[in-house]
Amino acid sequence: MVTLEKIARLASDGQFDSPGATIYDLDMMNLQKVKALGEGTKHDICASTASKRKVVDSPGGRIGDVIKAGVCHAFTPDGRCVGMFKTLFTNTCQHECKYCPNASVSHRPKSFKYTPEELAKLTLMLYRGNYVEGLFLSSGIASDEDRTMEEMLESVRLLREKYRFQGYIHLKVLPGASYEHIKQASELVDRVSINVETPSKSYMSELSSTKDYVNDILQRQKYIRHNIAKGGLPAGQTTQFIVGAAQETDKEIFDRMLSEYNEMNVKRSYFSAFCSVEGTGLENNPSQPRWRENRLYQMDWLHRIYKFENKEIEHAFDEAGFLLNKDPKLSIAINTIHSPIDPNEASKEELLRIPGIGPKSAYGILKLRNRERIWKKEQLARLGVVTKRARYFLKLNGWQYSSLGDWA
Amino acid sequence: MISHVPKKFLHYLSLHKDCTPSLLNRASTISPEELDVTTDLKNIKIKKMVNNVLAEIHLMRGFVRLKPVGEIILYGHLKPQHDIGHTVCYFLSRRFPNTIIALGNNTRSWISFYDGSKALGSESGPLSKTVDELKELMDTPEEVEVENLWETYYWSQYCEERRNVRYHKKNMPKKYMDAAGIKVARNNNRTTLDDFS
Repeated sequence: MVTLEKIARLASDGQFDSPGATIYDLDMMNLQKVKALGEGTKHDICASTASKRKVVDSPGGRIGDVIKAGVCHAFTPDGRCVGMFKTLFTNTCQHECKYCPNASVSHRPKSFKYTPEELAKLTLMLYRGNYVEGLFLSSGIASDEDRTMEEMLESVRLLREKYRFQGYIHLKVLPGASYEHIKQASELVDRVSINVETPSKSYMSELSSTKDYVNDILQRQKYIRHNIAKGGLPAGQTTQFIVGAAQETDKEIFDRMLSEYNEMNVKRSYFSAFCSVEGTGLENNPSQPRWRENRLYQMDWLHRIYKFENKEIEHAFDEAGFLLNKDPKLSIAINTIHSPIDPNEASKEELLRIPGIGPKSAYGILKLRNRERIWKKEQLARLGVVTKRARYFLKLNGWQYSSLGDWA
Repeated sequence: MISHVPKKFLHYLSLHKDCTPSLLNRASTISPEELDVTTDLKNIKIKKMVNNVLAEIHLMRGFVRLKPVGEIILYGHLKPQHDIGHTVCYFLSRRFPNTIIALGNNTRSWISFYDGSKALGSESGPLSKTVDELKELMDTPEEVEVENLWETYYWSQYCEERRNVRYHKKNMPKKYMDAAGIKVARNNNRTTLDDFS
């Protein structure tokens, strides 16, 4: 065990190896600005801070690092993770998106804007307090997207170069941003994203008359994909949909999500149930129930992790193309599993289709049956199977449970 | 005795508050296959104990709050269930090289310092005493208050329309909030986090 004196001596010697610039500048802290610009991003969902970037110690020192699993530092009373300092650079915007309180057509709150130095120091103050894992930077478009992107990138460069910040950074790409700015962002940050918001051009035109869905959004995603292929962006790109702002169906959102994975190489899609905000163009539209986004996440999981095929997944939607507020995996299982399954003989794919069995418990079943026969549900329960849900689809020791209307 | 399980597994098990020498002994005899997948209740219990330790480490890494003393010291409250003080302190010292990290409570504290190539660790008595000693040794200026910045930002992220107290409690159990010394935050509607406990 080392003494405090020795630690203090080493720390004193090492002060010259630190980044040096003073972080704590309390005069710079305008709490009204922090509140207003923070509120501008509260409907942006992405909370992941996982990055596989390797952090290297350099002679000039560093502040921070990233870890592969990511870290969540707090949860708000709505249950969502607060992992990053999520903020707008400015809440002034020339776009006319009807759902957005910062839109030029909305009753906007007071306008605020950070300077790059201000933003960098606030990020570091929160980071060193271990309140956040990094920065999530979005913005309204005050004059034009190039100028705003340039200022956002200047903030990021200050963090990376002057303050040697090695924590997580997620940068929103503004609709219409140039290829050059996207390329610079790919070299500096862990993840970028641009929100598609809707499944198609026609739905976007209902929400915003100023955004070109194909050129401003999809084309920018292709630029990002190109930069990922060249080795940038260790955490890739993501996107986000608003659920229920236009009259799009869940099936349309799901199909667009598949295109995002297959064509744009998006790592993950996020869903935000439309929330009617006073002072916006859609203030009289009904807010959507949160379960709509939960069910879409479940569908995303079934496709991405469980590898369900399209013809199976279609059973989860009703005739109008909407998901119901019940477990989609159960709806699919009722329509596709025709007879009870023996866990001693089923393939991994067959096991994954049973409600109550996930990838971990399916792996456990495959391993266990090499050593012993599975003949009672207690064995499955000890492997993590939710037997209350799985039992209707299983045949154990010759016995099968009947119920769930015999899958009628 | 030759152990079949990875050393790290036994190390994390040893940090659990209820770990005993006989449990460690039993754990060291588990076969790799059993460690991977098991239905034996005793082995399940051992794996659960390790997972509990890992879960607390993961959560404390995120929940512990650090208060700056100048630019050279960061200290914070930590009163974990399991013996993970050193582990969390070391993690934070690697995150903030050339900064003294001190975590602890009114009985015990852990100190760690990473200079970019090697890490040093120490253990001491009450945190307040350790911090006072470090302030004296480092001749540092006063503490910096950033809690109000955090509270302002934290509440800016909250959507009243999405309020879900059950989900919040599930993700931020009170015992971990207490272990990390997370204070009650007040919002402008005068509702406090105590309302959710």
